[in-house]
Amino acid sequence: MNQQTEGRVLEEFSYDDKIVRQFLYATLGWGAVALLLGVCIAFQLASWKFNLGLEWVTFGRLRPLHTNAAIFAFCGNAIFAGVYYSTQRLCKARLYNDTLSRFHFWGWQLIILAAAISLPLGYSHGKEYAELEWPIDLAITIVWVVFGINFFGTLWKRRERHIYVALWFYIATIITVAILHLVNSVEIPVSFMKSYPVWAGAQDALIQWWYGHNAVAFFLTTPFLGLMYYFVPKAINRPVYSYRLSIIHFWSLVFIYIWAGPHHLLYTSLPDWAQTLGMVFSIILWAPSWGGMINGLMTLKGAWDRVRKEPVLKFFATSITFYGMATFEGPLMAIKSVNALAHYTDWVVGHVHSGTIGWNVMIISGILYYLIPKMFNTKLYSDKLANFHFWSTTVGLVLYILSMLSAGITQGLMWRAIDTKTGQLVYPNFVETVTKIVPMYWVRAFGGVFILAGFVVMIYNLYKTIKLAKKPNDGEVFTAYALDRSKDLSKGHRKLEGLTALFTVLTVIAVLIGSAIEIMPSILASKWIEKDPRVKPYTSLEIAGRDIYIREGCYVCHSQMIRTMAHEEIRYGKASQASEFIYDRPFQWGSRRIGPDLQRLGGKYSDLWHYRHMYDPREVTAGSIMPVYPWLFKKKTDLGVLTKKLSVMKALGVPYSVEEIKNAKADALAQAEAITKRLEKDGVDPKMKNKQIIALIAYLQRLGVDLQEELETEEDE
Amino acid sequence: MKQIVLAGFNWTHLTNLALLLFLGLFISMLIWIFRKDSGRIYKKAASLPLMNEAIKKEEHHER
Repeated sequence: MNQQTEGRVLEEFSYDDKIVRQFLYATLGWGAVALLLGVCIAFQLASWKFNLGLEWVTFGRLRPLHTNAAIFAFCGNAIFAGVYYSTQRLCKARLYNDTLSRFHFWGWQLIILAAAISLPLGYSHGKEYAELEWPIDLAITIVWVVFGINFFGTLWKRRERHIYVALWFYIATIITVAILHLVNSVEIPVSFMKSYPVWAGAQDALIQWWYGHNAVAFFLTTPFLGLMYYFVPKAINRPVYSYRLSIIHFWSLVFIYIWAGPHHLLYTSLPDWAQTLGMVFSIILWAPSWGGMINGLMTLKGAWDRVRKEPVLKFFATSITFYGMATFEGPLMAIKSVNALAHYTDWVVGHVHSGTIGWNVMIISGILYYLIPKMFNTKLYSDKLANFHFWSTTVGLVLYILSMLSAGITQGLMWRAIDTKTGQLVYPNFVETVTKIVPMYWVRAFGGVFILAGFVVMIYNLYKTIKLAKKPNDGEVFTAYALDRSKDLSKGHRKLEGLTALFTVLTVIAVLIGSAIEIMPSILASKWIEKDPRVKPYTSLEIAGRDIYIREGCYVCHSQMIRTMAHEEIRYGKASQASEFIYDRPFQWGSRRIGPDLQRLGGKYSDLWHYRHMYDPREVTAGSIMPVYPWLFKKKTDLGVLTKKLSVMKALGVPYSVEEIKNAKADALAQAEAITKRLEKDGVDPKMKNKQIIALIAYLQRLGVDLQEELETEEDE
Repeated sequence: MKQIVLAGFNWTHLTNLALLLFLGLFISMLIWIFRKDSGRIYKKAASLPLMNEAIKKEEHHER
């Protein structure tokens, strides 16, 4: 019932905390799953035997599941819980629409479930953090739009004129993630769970890392900064250290972050100016990132005695500290000379986890310890258990970061070591550089166990808290005066903060300026990537093999990009050229070399070598940590779908003739027969011709061979 | 190939443009946030999460 007082309407309302609790429970559940998967794949790297010889749990398929579960399931649900809780309070309004809230919750859980089923089955788009296939991409778009409507609808019906800084970060998150997802996921379906991206090669790489980098920025950073600006002042009961600094922090971060993506592609065949731009803006990022960190930590100023005692503040203080460390390390690694050593190594993996565990897991834990007792109007079951969780996570994380830093620098230095007398590599055998760091993989795995154990203890602690509490505080009625929209009471930025639409438009402009310039090389790709007539489209069997390569997640361990460095050219061959990738949909440059680069693998080994290598890598490479792939020797290649695949490729601009498309199946069979005949001499059964291993061999033997003649001539010279 | 690309590509000034854009934005923001009388506004804004989000109905009646 509403009352009218002195011309102002006093309205009654209640908060929708049920939806917040649902997202919190989902956060706990998916968090445990994501961490468990992380521990599993860490052990798989320490010993290949943990792959169990089963296709669904092999490293190449579980690693994308781990990253997707950690980012979108665990962090995603935490974001939604925190955003919905704080937005209602900051707006003094119930969420815009209860039905949309429920749709959002169940829609997101179904998407996660679809990912949890489809990724182990091998349905993968082959692009990091964007592996989910097109029907799931579509579902993500719909659910994200629903989230946006629900959020902006709540802003619209708010009863507080000022839009607090946390809400700005949420606005930037919603808008930017939508743009990133839409642009990076433009794809043409081939079948129900298979599609090819519109972008190809270097163009696809640039757009993917514009997406990938900003997924970190706008999914793992900006929403959590918003949550920091709300929950840290709440937990310590004092305002944020400097509101002015938060304004600078917001606009600088939103404007700069989007430019830094090319630092993932340094020394590749991306134009030099784009690489320099990415590097320079990564370094500039130090300023706003540290501005935010200082603002967060200084909010705790004068209450350090409480930080020592209260688990919530302990988690918040540590998370902000790790945010500062990770955002210091990131720009450092974006400096080209540092990146030359760090890229493709475990140093990057360590850096990523100092952010995701140190920043995201820690702040989420703090929010959970703050929110659940508050929502049930009770105290935390056990501070001791929360302290155990804190120290277990901290010790695990230190083990993780140090082992990966050590492994990364060790391997990076071994790769680049050249004997000055002979001019040859000191460690020419790649596997030497892997076996050297395996002990570090064990340390990392046990670090992960510490983190998982702490998380499980938190689940138990919160379960007991809820169980011993009374019912949650649902249904409490609040009152607040309606926003008087007739009066313009404010000026300047304060006025801007009251105008949701204008504020959103300005945020979009800030994001788009950086995006437009950063992806300019992609838009102009046809001009700067000179087509090389020697580079031919893949044959139909090679396309089938390439899709198997993508399905098995080979890109998570192998790169296909030889950087412009002496030691890389000695080890792998001539540096990659942009023109070599124009038919690569998706690009498979990779970001980590747990195994060697494969860009010029074609013709390097015999068909039999590949055959034996895929069956048991240790038969041909002693000490290899690669899993076995016995199912490739049992499963048949789907040749029926090749005509459709080639048609889609043609629609995307690949110059296949009508005959090639029509005869896709017959051509594939003929090529498979030729490979099998070569293998037959070494005792391989001719019936193997229709098996997936043959298609994969066809693809692997094709890699880099188009320019082989030229390269051999150059070597002779 | 790099030479061919650079020869045909005349967008190197974009890096400078980007830097100028950012500097312009940053300086404008600095001037803006220290404008006259802004301290009071920001103090109130900063306290928003701490304000009783809304008043419970029974508390309102008591007041």
